[in-house]
Amino acid sequence: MERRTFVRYIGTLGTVALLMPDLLACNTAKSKISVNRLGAPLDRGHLLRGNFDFASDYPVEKMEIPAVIIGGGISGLSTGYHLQKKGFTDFLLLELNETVGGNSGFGENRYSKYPLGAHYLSLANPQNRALIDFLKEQGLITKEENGRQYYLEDFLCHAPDERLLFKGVFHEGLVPEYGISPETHAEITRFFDQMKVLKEAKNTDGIDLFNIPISQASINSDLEALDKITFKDYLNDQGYHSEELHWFLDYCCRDDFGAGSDKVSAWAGIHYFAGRKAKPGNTDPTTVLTWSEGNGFLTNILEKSIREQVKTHVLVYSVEELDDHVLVQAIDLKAQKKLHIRAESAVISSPSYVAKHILKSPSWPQSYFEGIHHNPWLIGIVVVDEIPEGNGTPLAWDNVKFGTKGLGYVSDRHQEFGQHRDKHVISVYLALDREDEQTERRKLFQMTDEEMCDLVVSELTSMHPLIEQHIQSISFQRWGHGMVTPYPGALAKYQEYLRLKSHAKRVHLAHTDYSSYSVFEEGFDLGLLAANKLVNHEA
Amino acid sequence: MHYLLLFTIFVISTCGLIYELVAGTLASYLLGDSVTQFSTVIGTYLFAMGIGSYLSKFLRNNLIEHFIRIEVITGVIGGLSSAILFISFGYSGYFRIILYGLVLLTGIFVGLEIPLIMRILKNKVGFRDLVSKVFTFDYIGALIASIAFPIVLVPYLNLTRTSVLFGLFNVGLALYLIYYFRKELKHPTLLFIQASGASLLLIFAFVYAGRINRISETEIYGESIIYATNSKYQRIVLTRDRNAYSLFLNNHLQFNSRDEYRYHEALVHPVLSHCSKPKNILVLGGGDGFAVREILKYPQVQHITLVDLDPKLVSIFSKNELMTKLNQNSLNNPKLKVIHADAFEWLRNTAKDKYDAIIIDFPDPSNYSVGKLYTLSFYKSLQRVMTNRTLAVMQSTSPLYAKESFWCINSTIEASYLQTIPYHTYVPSFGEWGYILFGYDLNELKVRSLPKKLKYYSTEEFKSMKFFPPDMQDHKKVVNRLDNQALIPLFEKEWDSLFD
Ligand SMILES: Cc1cc2nc3c(=O)[nH]c(=O)nc-3n(C[C@H](O)[C@H](O)[C@H](O)COP(=O)(O)OP(=O)(O)OC[C@H]3O[C@@H](n4cnc5c(N)ncnc54)[C@H](O)[C@@H]3O)c2cc1C
Repeated sequence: MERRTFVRYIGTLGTVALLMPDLLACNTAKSKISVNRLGAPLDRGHLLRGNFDFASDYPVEKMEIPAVIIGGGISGLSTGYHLQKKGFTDFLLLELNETVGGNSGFGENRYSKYPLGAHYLSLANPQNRALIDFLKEQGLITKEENGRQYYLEDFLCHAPDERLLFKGVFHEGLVPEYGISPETHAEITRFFDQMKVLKEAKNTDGIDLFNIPISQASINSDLEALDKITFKDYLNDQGYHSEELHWFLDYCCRDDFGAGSDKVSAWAGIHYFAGRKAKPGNTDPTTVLTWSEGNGFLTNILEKSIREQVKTHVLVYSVEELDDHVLVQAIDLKAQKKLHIRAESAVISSPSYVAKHILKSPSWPQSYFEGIHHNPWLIGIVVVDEIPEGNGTPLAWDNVKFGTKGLGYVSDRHQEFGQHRDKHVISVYLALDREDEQTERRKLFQMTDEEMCDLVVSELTSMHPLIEQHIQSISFQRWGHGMVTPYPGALAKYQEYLRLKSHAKRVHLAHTDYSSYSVFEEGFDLGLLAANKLVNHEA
Repeated sequence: MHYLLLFTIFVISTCGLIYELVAGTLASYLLGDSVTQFSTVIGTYLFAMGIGSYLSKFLRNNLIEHFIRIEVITGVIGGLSSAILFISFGYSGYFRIILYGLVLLTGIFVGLEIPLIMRILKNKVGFRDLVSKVFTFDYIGALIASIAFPIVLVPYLNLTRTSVLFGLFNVGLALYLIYYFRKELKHPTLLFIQASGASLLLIFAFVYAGRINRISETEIYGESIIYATNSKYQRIVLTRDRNAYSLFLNNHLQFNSRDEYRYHEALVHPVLSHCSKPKNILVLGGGDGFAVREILKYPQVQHITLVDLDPKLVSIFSKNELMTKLNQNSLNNPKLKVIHADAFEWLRNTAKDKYDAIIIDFPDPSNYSVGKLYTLSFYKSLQRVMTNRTLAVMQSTSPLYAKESFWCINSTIEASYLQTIPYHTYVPSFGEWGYILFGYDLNELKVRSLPKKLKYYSTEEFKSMKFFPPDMQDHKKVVNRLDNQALIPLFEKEWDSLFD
């Protein structure tokens, strides 16, 4: 059993996010910037490294409960939220970290909240009833009329939402369209027209080929063929050659999946565009809902509905499916005791690389968990006095530079209602996809503060040459495994999930790793489906 | 000895005259009416010099030391006078007292100088000769100072630096005398330390004087800048053109004292005169106190809450005596409560009361951050403090120069399920200007009360204000929301095209 290595993994991953900063100073060429790392403090990681010796004499508490959810990210929280909505409240949700949220967690400094990962929620597809109802219940959708949703203006991304530094000037929007050749322009138009057609494309059963959540799409052999090649190959095959379009689409892939168009599956690349078909009544369909704390806002809503059932600081290390029950074993790190829980059923809402180690179930063979990829991410949360003004569109929510490998930065205080910012808090996102994921992960965890600082600062100076002197501090959030990265074969993996799932008895998998596409909508949907399964099983 | 004498006289007389000129120029620059300012400043100064010569007889023994000390003190007071006046103009309500106090003080010390010199030299030079030489060089110094002042000094150095420079001359002279008489002095080191400290202070002031007074800005405004400062939120500049004052925030004209009554009467009276019981009033923006001045003309008003972002702006308009004269000291009225907050955030997070009337006087929507105050979401937040009977008004840029912007504001208010009455008036320094009156139900508006003795507004006039000729109409009905801020590009386009 490789449980030891798995635990070490978790320890070093920094998933135990006790947000205790170890303050250091990062000395770059010109200025002194104070830096700190978010995530696991060393002693915590040390405890978890290697084995469970530290817990060997912890008392064991035995419990019996109808259902256990393992992992409190969006998928686990959504499972719980839907269970309690259906009147099923006798369950536990176990989360390793101090707080729930996972990739949709958030932090806060003196000036602002900021997301640790997920920043925004796209507008809901009309078929995504469960999500629309949830947003209505929360007042985020104020009404529906003629099949159109009217969103609460306050949390739609305020204007200007995006700007691209292209040819020395900031332009509104991220598509590089300014001063391009007519051929390029025609290519860009053709691409978006093609996506429009694919949005409407249906399988023989009348169901959309592309849809979010993916459970509402119908897969055919055309999609399976697309899943065998990379998005970049697909684009070349289709005769798209312009630098501008290629850069833009590569940027989209890195932004949404953590790897470039030369790495991700063509199915995923198209899915990103063709899967979105929101029909809002009062805003642009491509806009998003966002908050200072990013999707931490949604995490909080979901958590609030099941506060009684959530237990944090609990490391689940074994889930065993037996004939008439599931045995869940865990360590309560705060109360310093072991938990042996006998449950009717369990929902695994932790990622595949965790599930692989903790789960023993006849329905879910080990081999299934291989071949699910996660590229690492580095996020720098930067406090700056001032963002030097560039030419063109002023500071937007999302700020990107054309032609680079970086993803630019998001302004975390953009959604505030007041006019004045004493300090700016911005999140610089870096998807580490140059080499294979293991190498990148190792590099990330060996990086010194200076190296991380240089990466983040150089990303910013490439857009604002004079910004360095204004930087006050940087907090680093490192994700060893970011969201699932859909390499070619990702759709096949999802199909495998569907097959295995149909035979699952007591253990269900609800985590965005298993839908091959990690966004809020998928986590929310997986949670809903798992909750349905549990309730039907009980009944 | 002889040359030293002449040199000393020359320096002190030039410096003395320069301080007098600086004070006179500054007073007329800031307060206007230069004949009055110059004659009162010069009168005070001459009188103070008289006091100085009278006092000189009380100084005995160690005359040289006394003289050196007087040079140092004159240098510091005279040298810093201009800086002190510029700064106190913005921050204090006692500008005139400080002005004449400084003039008096400088005058007294300058007045001490010549009699003292004469007494020092009495035994060394024949009296006749002495008197004639002293006065010759005194007059030569004065002549040179008065010619250099307007031609070289003010244009190249500005007022603050000029006075600091001459302060340095005074102190420099003191240093030279310490050196020259080092054997005869009792405490040469102490004096030296004092004089060097003073010169360091002045050198420091000379370097930083540029921040205090930016004559260069005069070119932008085409008028004299009497006060300029950066608050945390904006650049505040007050200018004077003869007897009229203007306020610029971030280079946008906010008012001109010559015609602001038109703007503010038209802003306040349509709402207040139609309001059935105007007791509790809210003002958003309007830190200049002019809207409050108009509101206070209604005796029924019991409470006024003013929410303005910028404490510095409010402080200028509640302390500076020129400004409190213009706004009739409205910001110090006991009925008024001032809250320093962002209006939008205050409405969302803090506001609890309901108000009978709401007056909104924000800057024009010229960028995305001010633009938030003109969005649908803002009007929805505003509704939290409105009752069915509340009447509100918002300044809404020019329906002539920016008609699409004006009507966009109107459509946005309507889209928040409020009724509107758009109207406009002519304010010479702004041109044709627009306002939007709004409330839940405007169908049965009646005039309830109107203060007498308004300069401009009347119920009759209001009727014509509501009429929009074709060149001020637009029917596009664009709604400005946080997520599109459609107003900003419209506003930019329209105002830019005006200057093309
Ligand atoms: C950098 C980044 C940016 C993103 N941006 C967006 C975005 O803008 N919009 C968007 O919609 N999506 C975004 N995502 C995708 C995001 O992953 C999903 O939106 C969603 O948060 C995934 O939730 P989940 O529950 O499936 O997974 P996770 O967030 O991975 O949750 C898994 C949870 O299980 C816990 N856990 C793991 N092992 C154990 C164990 N042994 N015992 C107990 N608990 C355990 C973990 O601590 C974690 O809380 C982003 C992801 C990343 C990494």
